[in-house]
Amino acid sequence: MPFRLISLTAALSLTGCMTVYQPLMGLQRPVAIDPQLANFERMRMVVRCIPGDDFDAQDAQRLCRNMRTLFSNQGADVDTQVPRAGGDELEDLNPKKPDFVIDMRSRLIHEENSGLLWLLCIASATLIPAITESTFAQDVTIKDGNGFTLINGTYQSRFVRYFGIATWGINGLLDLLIRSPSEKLTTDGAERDFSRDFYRQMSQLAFHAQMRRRVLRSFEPEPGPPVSPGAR
Amino acid sequence: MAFYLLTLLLLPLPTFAVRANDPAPGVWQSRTDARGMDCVNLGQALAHERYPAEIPDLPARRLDGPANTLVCTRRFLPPDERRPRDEAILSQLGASVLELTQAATALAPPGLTWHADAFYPDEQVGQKIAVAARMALAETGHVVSDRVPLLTGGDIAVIGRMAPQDGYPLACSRYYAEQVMGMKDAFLGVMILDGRETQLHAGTCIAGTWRWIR
Repeated sequence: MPFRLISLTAALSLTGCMTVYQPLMGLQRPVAIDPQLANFERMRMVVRCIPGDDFDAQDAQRLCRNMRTLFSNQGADVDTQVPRAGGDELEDLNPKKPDFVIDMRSRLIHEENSGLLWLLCIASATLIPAITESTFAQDVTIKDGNGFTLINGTYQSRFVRYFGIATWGINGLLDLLIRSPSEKLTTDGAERDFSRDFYRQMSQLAFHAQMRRRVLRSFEPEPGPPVSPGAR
Repeated sequence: MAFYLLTLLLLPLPTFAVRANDPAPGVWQSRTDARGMDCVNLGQALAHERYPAEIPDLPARRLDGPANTLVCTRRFLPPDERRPRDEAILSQLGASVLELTQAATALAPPGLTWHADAFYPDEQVGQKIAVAARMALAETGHVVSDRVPLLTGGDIAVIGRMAPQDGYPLACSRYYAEQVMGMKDAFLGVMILDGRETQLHAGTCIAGTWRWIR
């Protein structure tokens, strides 16, 4: 009987993992742009997802893929690059100069994971929850094709992960009985919420860069390629 | 048996109690409440500089202490109270207007009397932006006039139909042609140029010449 009870507890504990997302600096700022419209039509962008100590090449590839989809859906022609760690050179073989070069970096700025709490969690059959939290910062720089920095943005996001049957059970009950669907915490919504906030902010930031570029050029159109005398 | 069960049920409570002030969504805080706060993770040293009474300094000889501190402020209005564009602009109005006025005045000759106005789709928000611009100019030591230079109805009818790149320079030249502004005056215009943006732009009109600042 005790073995069955422990097995049941262990099985329930495996599902007793709950991650909550808290938008920090910049991510909860309202946006006015609709990412479903063609906001960047006929623009060429190079998105570079630059790996670092806390941002491996695989995650960088994934971020770049998502950024390509984001801006392609808004009408832009997007190339992506994942430079080697430490490499910062723009490798662009396309003869058309990019309108934007978007550099993206990610770093872990805070992590908390108490070994003592994990011991208590295991000793109490996960009734005392183990809590780990991580805060990430995403640094984004948008330059024009000549390397002039148009705009910078830093966004912070915090993820708190609770492990334990008690936390999961109490929140599950609250979700079931009290919380509205948009307020539920035990559903796997943290990553989805973060993605929604982050990609909205990316669209808004790129649009700001586009407007700033127009203003800084005093609304002059982009000079076309030089016309050879024989072309007339 | 009942005692042991009760003890087991009470076990997680201290952990929940410790996190009662945590701004992340959880037992004590809804997701909506969490989104109604502006939080930033500062290092402890920076947090101590800004909030010395609340945040202790880093211990001497120990630089690896609790290195990060979450600093949160609750928003004045719920997230859906104002339109997203208005909310985004007004929530950062002081900083963005100060940045614009500093850039504008750095490019102007000294000794001018500044006039400022905002061009924004919502009149009430526009007034707030204009007042913030005048305040920022005054706080940085410039002579500021309450008077807003106005053009005739005919001018406004024509200029209002023009694209921003043409309308603002024309309005600037008309200010001087109609002697609404003199050579000792300068005008700072703060505006948005597209309904999809949440950033402010600015331009100056000095001696009949319009210049985009940002």
